[in-house]
Amino acid sequence: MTKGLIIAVTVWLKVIRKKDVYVLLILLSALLSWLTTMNIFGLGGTTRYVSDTGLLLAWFLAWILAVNVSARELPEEENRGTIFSLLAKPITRAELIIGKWLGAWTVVCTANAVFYLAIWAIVAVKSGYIDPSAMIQGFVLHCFALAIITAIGIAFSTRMNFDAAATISFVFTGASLLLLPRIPEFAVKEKGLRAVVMSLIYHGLPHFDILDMRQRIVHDYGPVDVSTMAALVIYAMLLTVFFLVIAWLAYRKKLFSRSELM
Amino acid sequence: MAGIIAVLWICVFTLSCVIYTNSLAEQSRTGRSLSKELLYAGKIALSAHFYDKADTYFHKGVEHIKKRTFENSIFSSFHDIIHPQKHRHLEGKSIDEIMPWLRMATQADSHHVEAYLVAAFWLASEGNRIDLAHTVLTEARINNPNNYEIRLAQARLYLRQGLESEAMRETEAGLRLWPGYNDPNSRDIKLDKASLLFYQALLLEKRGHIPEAILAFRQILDIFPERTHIKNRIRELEEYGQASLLPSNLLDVSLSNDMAHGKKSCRRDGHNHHDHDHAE
Repeated sequence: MTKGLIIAVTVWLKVIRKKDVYVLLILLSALLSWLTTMNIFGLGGTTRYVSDTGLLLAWFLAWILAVNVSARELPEEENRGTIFSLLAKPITRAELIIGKWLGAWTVVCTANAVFYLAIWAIVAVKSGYIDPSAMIQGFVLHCFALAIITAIGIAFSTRMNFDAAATISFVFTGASLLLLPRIPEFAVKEKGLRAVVMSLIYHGLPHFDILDMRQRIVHDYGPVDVSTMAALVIYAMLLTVFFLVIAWLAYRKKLFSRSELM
Repeated sequence: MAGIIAVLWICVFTLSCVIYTNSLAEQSRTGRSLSKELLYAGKIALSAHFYDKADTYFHKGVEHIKKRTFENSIFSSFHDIIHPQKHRHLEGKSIDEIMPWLRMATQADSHHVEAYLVAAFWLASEGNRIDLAHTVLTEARINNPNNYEIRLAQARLYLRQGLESEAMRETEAGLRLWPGYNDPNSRDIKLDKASLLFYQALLLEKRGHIPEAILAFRQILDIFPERTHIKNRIRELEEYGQASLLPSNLLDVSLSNDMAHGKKSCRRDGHNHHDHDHAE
């Protein structure tokens, strides 16, 4: 476990050096600040659109960050050749995968926390109100959604280079985020094989829509009950473990040839 | 490899030829280049999206409910818990929350008259800000000088304020501009003309211009011959020179009916107002 934590720390150090997070945070703050200065027919005091847009941006930016950070780690080690010195240490490949995932996930969650704080601060400056309990629940579920996304990024990166892994991860998670919630509407008119395929996609892909509390936060529906929250957290954890196991299965017997990598 | 590149090159060349020819044809039809046409279409789509967003906000974040499958799925159950589906409306001061999206809709497309009208309606009714509603409609009029609907909305506002001369001016302008680009046979468009005529007739009646008022009432009957209360009013005006119900009272009733109808109108299908909450 300690070895995994050490690897996670190295992921943190790399991300801090790359400054991606700062750029995204500045982008978010600039966009939200611009929104707050908008003249709304001479009216003041409306903040719901700010929190709505802010949360949408937080989901979008955290998604980009999660895929980029997670899909970059293993291919970068291989490209630089540092994978050999890493694997020469008394560390198992499972520990390497878990360490990389933990590092990527915690970095993205921290960035996400800063995004949420920025949204809360900007809404508070405009004298708006966001239900803190719903906001915290939304943040926690968002973090668990990011756990799945980073696990998917790691899983694809075990057998692909960074570009391919990032692209496939974006397509896979993007379809789950945007397309999956619409499948029940598309499938209404489908019959036979198409209906079966739609059903498989609907039940097989990760359901990020049930981890997305934006509507409840923005429109003041309040938090969900504890049992629902627990069920959703368990679902997200199971999916994360599933993708990490796939990553480990793909990586445990992978052969590295110095001449091919260097 | 060279073969694939050659095939791709031919495809790209053919596609660019088709696009160029179509763009020339479109340019000669609309007077706009392809890039401007795309930009215009993008602006309209963006404006429509913001308008839909305002509608979603009006329904407390609940999107249009469509027919779905997998209703018994566990994911569907969780989805419904996380995303409430009950039909609700914003009311009171909270209606202001739809304004940013209507503002964005009008900024994206200054010809989106419906967005202006909805904004002005709610500002004047629930928001109780007739001054801001006038500002919105003035902006709408500047951007859409030939639209009669804006004149009708402005006439209603002036009538609510008791500014009869201004209201008369707006009804006259509205009738001159009617039907604009709309289908004159559409029931909604005909209803708008009838409203303009009705307000004009009552204002004329109030000023004592009875023959002109009767003429305006008769024009309403030309559109909707089944309106017996108009027939009765014409008869009363012709026989006694005045109607039993004073024009000012009838105006008040008509304006409050319009207001109530506007508040209750909902773009969503299968909408039953006895079946849902109106949230504060």
